[in-house]
Amino acid sequence: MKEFAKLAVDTAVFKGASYADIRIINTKTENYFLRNKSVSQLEKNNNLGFGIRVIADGAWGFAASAGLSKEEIQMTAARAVQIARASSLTKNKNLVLSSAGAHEDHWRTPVEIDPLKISSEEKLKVLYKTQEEMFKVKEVKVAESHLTIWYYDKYFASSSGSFIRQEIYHLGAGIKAEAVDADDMQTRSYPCTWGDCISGGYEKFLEMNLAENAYICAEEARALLKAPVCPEGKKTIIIGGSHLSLQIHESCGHPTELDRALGSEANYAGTSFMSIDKLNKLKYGSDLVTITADATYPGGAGTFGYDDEGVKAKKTYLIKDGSFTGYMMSRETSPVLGLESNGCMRADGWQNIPLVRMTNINLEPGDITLEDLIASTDDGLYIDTVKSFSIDDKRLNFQFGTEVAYEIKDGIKGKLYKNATYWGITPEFWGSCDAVADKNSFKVWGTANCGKGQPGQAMHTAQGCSPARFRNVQVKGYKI
Amino acid sequence: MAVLQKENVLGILKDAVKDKSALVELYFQERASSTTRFANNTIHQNISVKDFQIHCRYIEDGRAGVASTNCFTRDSLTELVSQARSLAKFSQKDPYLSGLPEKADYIKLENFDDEARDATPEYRAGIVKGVIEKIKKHNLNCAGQVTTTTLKDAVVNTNGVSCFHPSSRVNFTLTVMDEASSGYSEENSFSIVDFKIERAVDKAIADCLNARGAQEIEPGIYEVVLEPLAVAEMIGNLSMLGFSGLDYEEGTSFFSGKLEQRVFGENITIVDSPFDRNMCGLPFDFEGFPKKDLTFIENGKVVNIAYDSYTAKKYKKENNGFAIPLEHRQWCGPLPFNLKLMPGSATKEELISSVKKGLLITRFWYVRTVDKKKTIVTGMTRDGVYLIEGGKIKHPVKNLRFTQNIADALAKVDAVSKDPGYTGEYFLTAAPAVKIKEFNFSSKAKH
Repeated sequence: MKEFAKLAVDTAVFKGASYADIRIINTKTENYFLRNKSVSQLEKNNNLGFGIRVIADGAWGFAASAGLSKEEIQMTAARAVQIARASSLTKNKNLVLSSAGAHEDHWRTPVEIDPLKISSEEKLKVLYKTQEEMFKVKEVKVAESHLTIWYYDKYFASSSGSFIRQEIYHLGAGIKAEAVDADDMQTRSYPCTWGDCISGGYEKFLEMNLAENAYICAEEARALLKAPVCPEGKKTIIIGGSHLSLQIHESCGHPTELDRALGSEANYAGTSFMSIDKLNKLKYGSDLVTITADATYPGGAGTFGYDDEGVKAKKTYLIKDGSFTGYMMSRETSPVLGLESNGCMRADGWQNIPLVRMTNINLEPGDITLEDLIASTDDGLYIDTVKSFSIDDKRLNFQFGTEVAYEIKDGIKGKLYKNATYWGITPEFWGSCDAVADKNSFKVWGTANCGKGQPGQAMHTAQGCSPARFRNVQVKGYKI
Repeated sequence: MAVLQKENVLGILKDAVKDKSALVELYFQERASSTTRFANNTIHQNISVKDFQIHCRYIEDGRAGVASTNCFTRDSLTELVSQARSLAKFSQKDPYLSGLPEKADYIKLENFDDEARDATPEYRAGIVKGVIEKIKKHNLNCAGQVTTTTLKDAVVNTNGVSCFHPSSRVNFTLTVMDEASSGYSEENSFSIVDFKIERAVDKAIADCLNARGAQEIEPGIYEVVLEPLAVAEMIGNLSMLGFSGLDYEEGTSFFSGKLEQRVFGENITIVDSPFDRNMCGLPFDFEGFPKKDLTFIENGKVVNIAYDSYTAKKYKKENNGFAIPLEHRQWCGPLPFNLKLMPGSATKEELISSVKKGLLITRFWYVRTVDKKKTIVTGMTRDGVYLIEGGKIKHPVKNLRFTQNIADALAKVDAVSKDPGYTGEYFLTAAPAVKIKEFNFSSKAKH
């Protein structure tokens, strides 16, 4: 691999590149998906290719190709330089990159049980059991169970002198029950909507205890059919971890991507209300809100050794005690702030260029137990599990919906409601946070399908949190 | 990478399915795509990719396994079939997995453009340079992208299905921005010759300038004129929520139990139109079943639902050619990808002039489902909202969030304009502008 990588970089430099890097990625994927007791998908995928990124005449070019051969490497490197030269037709100034350093390293996701070595039969046995359990509830008309494993064997080399190999294991799994009656259809998911996505081995799948929770999941879907619609009004809400992770993703993760704040995504994903003039000035949330981007945090879908520019994984404070203090950055964007990259460039495969992407975006836990958080709430709702989500192109106006909402009255969690939605404006919402549960209920939740870029890319990201309480939030239940 | 011709591709694929002792299907795609992307009036990302994907589905005795790769050689396909076969034995028997489409002729579709294939990085950069220069003359900022793509899709199976189709697509999107206003436009075609960049640039500039000075407006229910991009977004969402035969039969679709019933206004006809060349579609589905234009909603009445070979067998319906790519079949059933809301006879100006008090909406963004069965979705307006009073555009207003039942909206369409716009990231939807009596805006944005 080193030989191919060196050939790519050398060819690009020979053709006139002032900088070049290559990612060679061999990906193995296994996908198991059961639907209504049938195997809807039982698939193994192998994918190999490389992408070469260069700067020539002060501008970027990128070319990528499937397979791996000396001839293809040379042609693709030359094409990348040609593309960079074409880019320079519109440049205002030459690109300046902050340093990545030169690293030679081999990083691997810590794994106890290699998921690729477990038989398909073994994996399916767990999933079939979840189906059996969910269909014990007669109102369940659709039951889905899935497990997906990704293994990325990535090589990165650059003209700065880096050669890094990373073996990264991701695993996604979950179940969903849809209960239907004459008037309504309700869904309940476990451990979260679309399943959780983590980095680690097969042991992580076993820890999810899908089969043990399948019947409860189905029962809750059934209960939702007859549950009353969530009442409307300004409410105190405690948001459970799996839903709060999406709130963090959409309203903090995305607006603190520096490329977005600088306008890179204006035609597609949007810009950010957290513009660079607001850095170290904007009060984003209450003093209890501290959020970091941390690729070093173990076990998250945003955990790695080096980003896709060869920058070592780091932890950065995005929000500290409610104040906006940092962005996720790249080698190209960080110099705008006079800073070094903090290693947040990630690409969806060899076919795509890296973009500034979330890593593990963690809301630091507070100092109250979840039980005390609920007990200290006189009148409110406990809501959880994503049902709907939408936010504007600056990441300000949002509206989210959850699968469940439970009434809290005099500190006791009780009555179940359905069709709860809530909306707000990001800094006003986070400013209303008056409690965050402690580390005992902290968990890092993964998202397998974060979209960005043109052409579109999907990325695995993670958001860690404990449940948290917000005051005076507009809530509405949709009647059907 | 060698240029692969039809005979090469089909020859290699057919060799891999020579053994007829089981049902085997191979789907092949070669993709060459280049995108020149720009922001802040400069090219900031510029990429070119060549890739393959080959999916093998192996079915024996009602058990299926799937394997996929991006390596297109005889040896890799032999390995692929073997891998799919070994996975199939772990699957539980499914009585409806007992057949694949039979060999059949498909209608020829010409939507491949040699100029799109030969477009160079310099050509795309030249387009972008011209766009930026025009926009800079107005002291405005722009962001966008131009993409040229060629695809070769093929399906073969052990029943003799042998389909091959080359296609191309040229796509341009543009956002023009001022301090507090923006305009957006989009062009899609299979051919560079039909590509009307100037029209798109002029529209985005005009919209940006017209959107200056946007005032706040309170949310509520308004009469609206939706421009084609906004309507296409609604139609695309409706398809995902309702047209799948799987959802229909399981009772989770809005259309479940409503076949042959009138559910929308009589002025609503929705057709799947893969043979409209600007749809950049395929003449066969992803199982190689021949496609034809098919009406789903006729004058407001539900007349068809989408099926593939599996759902047709399971629910005793006719396969009508809507099998989706294998890697997505776990998440949803058969779906139409080339939907068109048929145009009416009015002009957009006539729609606007008939509004006493309402809103003109350019497009929607980040539209997501609130309630699937009732087709309630929520999303934002973006890049231009205007107050209409007394049939005239009064002034621009700030963005709003809508939360609306799509089916209800389509039942309240007063008028349909005559000129469709085409839009879509992966598959295209076409729609004209429409005027809707009541549309619900649930909250407001700050910009």
